[in-house]
Amino acid sequence: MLADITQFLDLRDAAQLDQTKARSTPAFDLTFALLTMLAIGGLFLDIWSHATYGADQSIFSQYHLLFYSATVMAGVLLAYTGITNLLAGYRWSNTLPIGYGISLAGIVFFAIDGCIDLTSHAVWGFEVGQEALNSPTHIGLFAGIAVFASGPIRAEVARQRWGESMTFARLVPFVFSVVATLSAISFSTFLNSPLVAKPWALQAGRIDQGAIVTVFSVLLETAVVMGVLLWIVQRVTLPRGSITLIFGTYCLLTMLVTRVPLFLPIWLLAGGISDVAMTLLKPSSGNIWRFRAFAAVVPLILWGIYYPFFIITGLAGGVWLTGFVWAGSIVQAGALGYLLAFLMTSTRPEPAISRAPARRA
Amino acid sequence: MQIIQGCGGFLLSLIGPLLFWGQAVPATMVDPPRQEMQTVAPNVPVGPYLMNITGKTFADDMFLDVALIAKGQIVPDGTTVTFDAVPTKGGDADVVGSVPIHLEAITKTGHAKLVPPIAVAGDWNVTMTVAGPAGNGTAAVVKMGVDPHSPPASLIYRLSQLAIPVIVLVLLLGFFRLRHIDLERRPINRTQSHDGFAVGHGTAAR
Repeated sequence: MLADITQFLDLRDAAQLDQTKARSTPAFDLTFALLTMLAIGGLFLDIWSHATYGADQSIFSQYHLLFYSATVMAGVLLAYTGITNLLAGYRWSNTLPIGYGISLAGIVFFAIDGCIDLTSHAVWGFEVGQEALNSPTHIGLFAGIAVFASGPIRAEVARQRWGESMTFARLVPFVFSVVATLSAISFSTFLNSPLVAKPWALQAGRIDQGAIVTVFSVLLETAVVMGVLLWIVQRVTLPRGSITLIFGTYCLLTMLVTRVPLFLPIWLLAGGISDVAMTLLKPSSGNIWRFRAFAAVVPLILWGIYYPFFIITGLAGGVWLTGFVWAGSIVQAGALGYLLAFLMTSTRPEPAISRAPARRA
Repeated sequence: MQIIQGCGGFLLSLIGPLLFWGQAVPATMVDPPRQEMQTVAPNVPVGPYLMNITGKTFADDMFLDVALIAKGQIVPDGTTVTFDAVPTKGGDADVVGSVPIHLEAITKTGHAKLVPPIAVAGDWNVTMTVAGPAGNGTAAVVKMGVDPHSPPASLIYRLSQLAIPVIVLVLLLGFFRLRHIDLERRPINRTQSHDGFAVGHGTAAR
């Protein structure tokens, strides 16, 4: 039984999974990724509603309907696939394609946590402001979304393990999945993200508290963004332009809440230059130092564009921080990226992820 | 000697808790469970009373929760709380088309529940009055900003939010079936799997 569960959740040896479990096609990935994007879009609109009109006045607000419906449909897709395969005689632990067993677990977790969340609303009422982002039941919902939305990423990792290279048809659902996962992980830090909700560098005055908040928020957003980016770059060879697509789509989604396109040029520019860095450094090659260098360079690019953008344009009042603070925070962000990569890579070089086809004769 | 020292230490260790439990502890404000939720006006002194006004939004139930204590004790049931709100005139927070509101509520376990019929956004000057066994008091005028309510969505719009994911799923699955596009590919040419179930050439694990 335990073996079946670990098999279903893809927790067993990759070579064995490749032999026994189905692989999703781009059609499956696209369908699933579109549903998760609808769920994420509904959640962003719900945050906008919270920010504009305060607490929800009903559990069944239109935005809740959208993201609950989309999540249920994602579950229906997995259930449909699983039941079809079960009826066709496959063992239950092999009924879902690689990467999607965990997604189903994420949806089940989301459903259970959703019931607890609705109960907590009935008992303690609806949260407002930071409460809504930090409520334990909401963090549970975000975690559930991150787990199920990342299904296409895991599927792509498995495909690249088989030696298949990324095509445009697979890039679209992959980017959707990365953006949805990044969004789910960053929801609880939404109000603390200088590149999403609040341009702290612009609002913070020449006081220590303002500078502390700014530096902290820069590091926090670096950790969230780089955590997701490094996770995929370590496992998947991305085509050129992928980071621009990911950053641009993520920013567009966040604009559902903010309705301000202020950060879009920064994300796009940083994404473009990061793509150049990815092409030059080849972080997916399995070389530890290339990976670590990429991890340090991307935050430097991101924040190296962020501050000069506001200094040069003067938008929203320009940067109020002193040069010591903003320049130092760029360096700190780069160091944090390097440390993340350091934690993700062994000091003893391991064999690179095999790109060779693992098919057996 | 060691036994005496041990007993002495044990007795001394009892003194701390005794000191803690022995002192008079003022009653803390109990329920609402989440004082910080939509705090409207915290710690408003009203004569001998201390008042906490909190906005509560439950499913299909929105109200102002007024928690009262008097000299550290929960006020007895039956204390009257009066809520007088006058819409501001002039300025960009002017409340249009509203009239002054006068409400009264009786406390139960230290709380009074008020449901002001404020439907439009803007600033209101609110005066809270309390009358009870501990005395009577009137608070200084508090200006409260009322957020706009979310405009009600039509039934069609709400249904569309439910239907969009369903339609997306049905359309895509239908399209893929019509075009004979597979949703998954089973591994082929495999030998004995780790689970011990035999798999032949060109078939899938079952």
